Amino acid sequence: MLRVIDHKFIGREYEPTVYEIGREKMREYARAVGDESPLIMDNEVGRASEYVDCIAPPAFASVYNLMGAAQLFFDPEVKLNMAMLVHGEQEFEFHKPVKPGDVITTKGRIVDIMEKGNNDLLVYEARSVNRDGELVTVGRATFVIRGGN
Amino acid sequence: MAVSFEDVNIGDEIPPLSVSLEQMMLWIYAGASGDFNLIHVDKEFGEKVGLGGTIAHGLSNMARMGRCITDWVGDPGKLKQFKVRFSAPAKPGDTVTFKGKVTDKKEEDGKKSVTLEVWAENQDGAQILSKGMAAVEL
Repeated sequence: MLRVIDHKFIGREYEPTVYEIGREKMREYARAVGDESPLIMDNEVGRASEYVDCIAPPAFASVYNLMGAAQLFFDPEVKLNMAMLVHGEQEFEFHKPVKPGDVITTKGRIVDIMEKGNNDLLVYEARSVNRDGELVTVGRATFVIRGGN
Repeated sequence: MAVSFEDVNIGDEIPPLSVSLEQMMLWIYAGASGDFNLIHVDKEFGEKVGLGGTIAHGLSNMARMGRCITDWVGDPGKLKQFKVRFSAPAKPGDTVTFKGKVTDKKEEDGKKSVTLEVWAENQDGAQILSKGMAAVEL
């Protein structure tokens, strides 16, 4: 029997998360995936670039943009079946590169809930802004609950 | 800039990136990302939940896909939009190859952008990342 996630949760918002980009932390992430771009790794190259400093690898958004999703995973009302949850799709829009020292505030919310075959799908959107309020990254994660929630 | 807008043609394939995965790389990614989910770090746990061992973090596959794209562009700051579907797990011992193909190029309001179809497959040709899309500014 298919158990669906209540559609009333579409629009549900979570508490903002705050993350300060660390120079060596973003480099540790870059090295972990083999990204040795001098714009990430070399201060001199970073300073001489249009960005005026080194930038984080774009996929570092996996850290600062998605950290709030833990609230969704452990939401006592939505009650996702975590044993059956898989990350189905991920989309990022990059509006502005993030740099060491940037303080990124991210707000996440549920933007869609769907049933597809035997699976339930939930789309979580997270919008990250910097200290000046400029939008830097929008993430959209589709989580699949195999066999329905 | 490693590639110029003028030199890009629809249908061009970008240089593929092949990565042979080892368990140590999964542990290093766990530390770098903060994601210590046991399915990535504990072989016995992965076996117990029916995965046959550990699997790589989906987002690490996405990050390497991103690296393949931005290595081609020559600037990690030029990736503007990026989407993938996680279609199958990658495991230690797998060699994953990340690939991309130019599907569109356009110049609008002085901005030159190129759109790519991107995907990743393992040594058996199974798709690890599928239905991927990336837009870069050149």
